[in-house]
Amino acid sequence: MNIGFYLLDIDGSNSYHKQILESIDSLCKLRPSDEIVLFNDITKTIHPNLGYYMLHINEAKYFKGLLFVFDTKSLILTKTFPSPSKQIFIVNEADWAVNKTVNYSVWNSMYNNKNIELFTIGKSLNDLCEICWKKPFHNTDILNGESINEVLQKL
Amino acid sequence: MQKNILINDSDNIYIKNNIKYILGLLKDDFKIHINNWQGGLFYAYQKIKPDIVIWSTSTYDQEFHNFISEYGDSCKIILFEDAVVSQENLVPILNNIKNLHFVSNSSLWKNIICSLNKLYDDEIFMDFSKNRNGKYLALLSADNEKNKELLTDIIYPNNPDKKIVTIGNPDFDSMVNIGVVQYLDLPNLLNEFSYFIDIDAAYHLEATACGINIIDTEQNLQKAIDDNLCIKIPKESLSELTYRNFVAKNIVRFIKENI
Repeated sequence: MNIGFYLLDIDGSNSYHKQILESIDSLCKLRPSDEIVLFNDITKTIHPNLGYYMLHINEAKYFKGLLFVFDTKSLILTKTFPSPSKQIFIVNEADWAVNKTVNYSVWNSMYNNKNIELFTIGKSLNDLCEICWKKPFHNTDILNGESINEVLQKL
Repeated sequence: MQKNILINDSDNIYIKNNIKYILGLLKDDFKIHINNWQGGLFYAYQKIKPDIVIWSTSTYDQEFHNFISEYGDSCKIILFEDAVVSQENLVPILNNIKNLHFVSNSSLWKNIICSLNKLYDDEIFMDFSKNRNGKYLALLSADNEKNKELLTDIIYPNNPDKKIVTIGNPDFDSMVNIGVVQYLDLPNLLNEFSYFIDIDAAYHLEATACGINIIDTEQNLQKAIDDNLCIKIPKESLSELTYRNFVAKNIVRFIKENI
């Protein structure tokens, strides 16, 4: 299986980014025979012992596989990509409630998109997504390699 | 020779919809010039020599006042009163202008073509729903105190059982406030949701045309939701309340009879 992760502006001091990278690392151990790719826009640092491929975000457009996306900024870019067989949006905040001046149709095009599955972190986000948008495909209390693996097994 | 109509464009959706149907219904018989003519009205008059000018009170300014004082007896003017004329000393002046005609609900004016009814656009508001989502859509008021008073107790997290989302006022602080809405998004929303809570009761016609259940906000809202108390507007009466019908019966008829 081809599994991609689309993460913009990776920041080592960002604890959520750190958690995402650790999750991808542990997923590689859980699924050693799968092709796992991290798409990102910072490629200055070379990591010699990574268990997955790192490619520039431009390549994600032509990626044939499941693509995990972590924020709405990324989703705005990826939602029209034709190649990924499915996109899974990992929701870790209710950003519509933070950026309230954004038009409803912008949120609707992401959260109610038939080609995008919602994967929520925490029960309250699960409930909120179900009330405001659609029933999430999967919910977890904590993001890690196992919870991502559970999603992959359900798909 | 084809007659000219000069129309000042407006941000007001009511005026915009009237303009849309004036254009649609008269475009074959008249040459219609729609623009934001504020700041260029005298120039436009000299260049186009309109037989009729259509304006609204929300864009009534000194230039327009000078214009109707100068040409109000020679050129027909239709003035939509979409904002109240608060300056009392204007009333006798405007009533003395021979060719100035109002579309207004006020009894202050002498020459009234017709009153401003609540109307809806049947070209975009219609029932095209296949599957409604079983949820409630609350369209917020611009008055945020009113929103808080009516909604706080009945929405998430205070009432997680009812799937109620709010829309239309970014100042309303709630996790289920899903953004601002544009007029052209409303038909989709009114066809997607199952129940409509219209805090200002401004879109009942549109909602009825889209076939959504309108919760009666005049009642205790919690009770109205629990007991499913809905407002019913007879669908047969809707055809009379369209912009198309209003413009055809009133504005177009006036123009054709008087030009």
